[in-house]
Amino acid sequence: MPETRDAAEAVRSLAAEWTRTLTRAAHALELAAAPEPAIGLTPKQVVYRRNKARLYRYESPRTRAVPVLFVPNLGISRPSIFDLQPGSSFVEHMCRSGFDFFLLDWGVYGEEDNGLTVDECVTRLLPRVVRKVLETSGADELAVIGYCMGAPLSVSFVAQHPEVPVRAYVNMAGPIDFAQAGLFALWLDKRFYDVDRVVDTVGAIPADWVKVGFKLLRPTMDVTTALNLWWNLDNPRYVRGYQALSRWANDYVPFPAEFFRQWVKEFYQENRLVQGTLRLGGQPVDLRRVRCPLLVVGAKEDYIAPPGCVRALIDHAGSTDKSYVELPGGHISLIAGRSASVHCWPRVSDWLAARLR
Amino acid sequence: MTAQNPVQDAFEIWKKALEDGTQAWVRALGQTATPQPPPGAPDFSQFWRPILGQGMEIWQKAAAQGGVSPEFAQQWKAFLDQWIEVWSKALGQAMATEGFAQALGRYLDQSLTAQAPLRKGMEQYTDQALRTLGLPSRAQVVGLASQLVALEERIEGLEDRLDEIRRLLGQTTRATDRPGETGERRAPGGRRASRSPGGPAARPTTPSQEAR
Repeated sequence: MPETRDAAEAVRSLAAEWTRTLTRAAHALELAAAPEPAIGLTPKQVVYRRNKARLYRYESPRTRAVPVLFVPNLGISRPSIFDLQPGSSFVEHMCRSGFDFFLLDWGVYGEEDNGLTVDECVTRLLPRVVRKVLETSGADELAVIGYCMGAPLSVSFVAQHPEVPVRAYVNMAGPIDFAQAGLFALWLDKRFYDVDRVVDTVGAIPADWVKVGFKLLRPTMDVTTALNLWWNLDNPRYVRGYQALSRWANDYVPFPAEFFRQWVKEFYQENRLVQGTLRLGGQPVDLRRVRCPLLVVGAKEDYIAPPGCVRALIDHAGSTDKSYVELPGGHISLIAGRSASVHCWPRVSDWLAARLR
Repeated sequence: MTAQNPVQDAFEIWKKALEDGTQAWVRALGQTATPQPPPGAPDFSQFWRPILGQGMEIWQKAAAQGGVSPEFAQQWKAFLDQWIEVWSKALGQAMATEGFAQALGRYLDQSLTAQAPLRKGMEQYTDQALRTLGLPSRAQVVGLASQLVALEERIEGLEDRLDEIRRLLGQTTRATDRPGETGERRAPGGRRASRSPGGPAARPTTPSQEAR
């Protein structure tokens, strides 16, 4: 009797779904009452500090002599995303792979830092950070990983200082050709966005504005996240990951006023980095002077730094050993989360390991 | 409606109910619910109508292909995912237009115009209140913090110069002890391994930096 079998199957399915729904509801209550999970747990030391910025050196077996300096974005969000939780941390992965891993935390800037510029970050702060990495590790060379905005900043430094012994450079989701920077490039176009007026009126760009800008980029993201949470509420591992990620995701960071002005004007509106017209500290930034081995990693669904705008470094850098990989995921899931641990981290660590022997 | 597929029929009813509901909302908001609105009057339902239609199509196609299985939760999830994806695409397309960027810019401009006097007034009022209480104003605190930041920078600049002098002294001493050796280290690959990237000797300075 097929009808009876179908009906029995439907009842069984309904019962299973009902149980799942009850588990979800119970976990939702637990989630609401749960304390904020701890993030950024890999043991580390502050080896250098200047104003709000900190340079961390992480505990690791340090089986490789050449240290790795990780330069993330300034403003927008905190770097805890790179060391989210044990088992889902890029920092932890790099440390376990034997790298002497350093991370530059730019810090959270206040009104007193409104005079900070891209110039100052690249020509005054980064040189000191690199020097501290070399001094602390006792190495003669280092490798640099630039992530997001950290890539154009650090690659500008590398291009301006060919005497600095950078053994290898990795650009992870870092925008280079801003003409291909997607929606942000359009919204920040000088025809529609008067950055001078914005900065002169509000000063530092408030964290709430940064939040709105990024939310606008994917308006359905919050709905998707909420729905995914609901479907996975019966999975404790997913819930733990969600808690950690949402703690990071709700912590937006403001932009210092003059930094934002220079960033929007010279990078987004005038696209000076690839046009060869960018000058920092009075000196030109010529990407052809980047001659070390180069790995560029783009994310297929990156709306912040679309693959084309990241890949441009391959075309403009002077390196002979250069490769580009495009991995699944978005701007964040490229480096954080389960998919990143499968697709991205081993690619980056294997590539570096082969060049830092 | 088709007698063969009850699911399709159910969703046709649902779709119609949604459309009727929206028309009611439009009427309540004072918009005409006629199919052809007079020129200049926005028809808000036009925006979601194609998106809703697409969502319905996706669901109907899925239902027509396999009917409804007992795994209705999975089907519902798939439907929601696809519908959100359609929404996301539609919004993405709308936001990727110059018209949207222009509207966004205009909105920001208006908001700044409204904010500027308000902000200035608030600052003046707060400063006055703090002065009355004998407390430092916000601008004074920020100014003090900026001076500390600048001081830190100057100390670090001095440290850099000291390091450089120490390095040069070391080089000179080694060159005196063992003539012929420059003291420079060579990194694998033949490049000079500088220990002071961007140090005073290597770092270009602008007039404004020197003034600090």
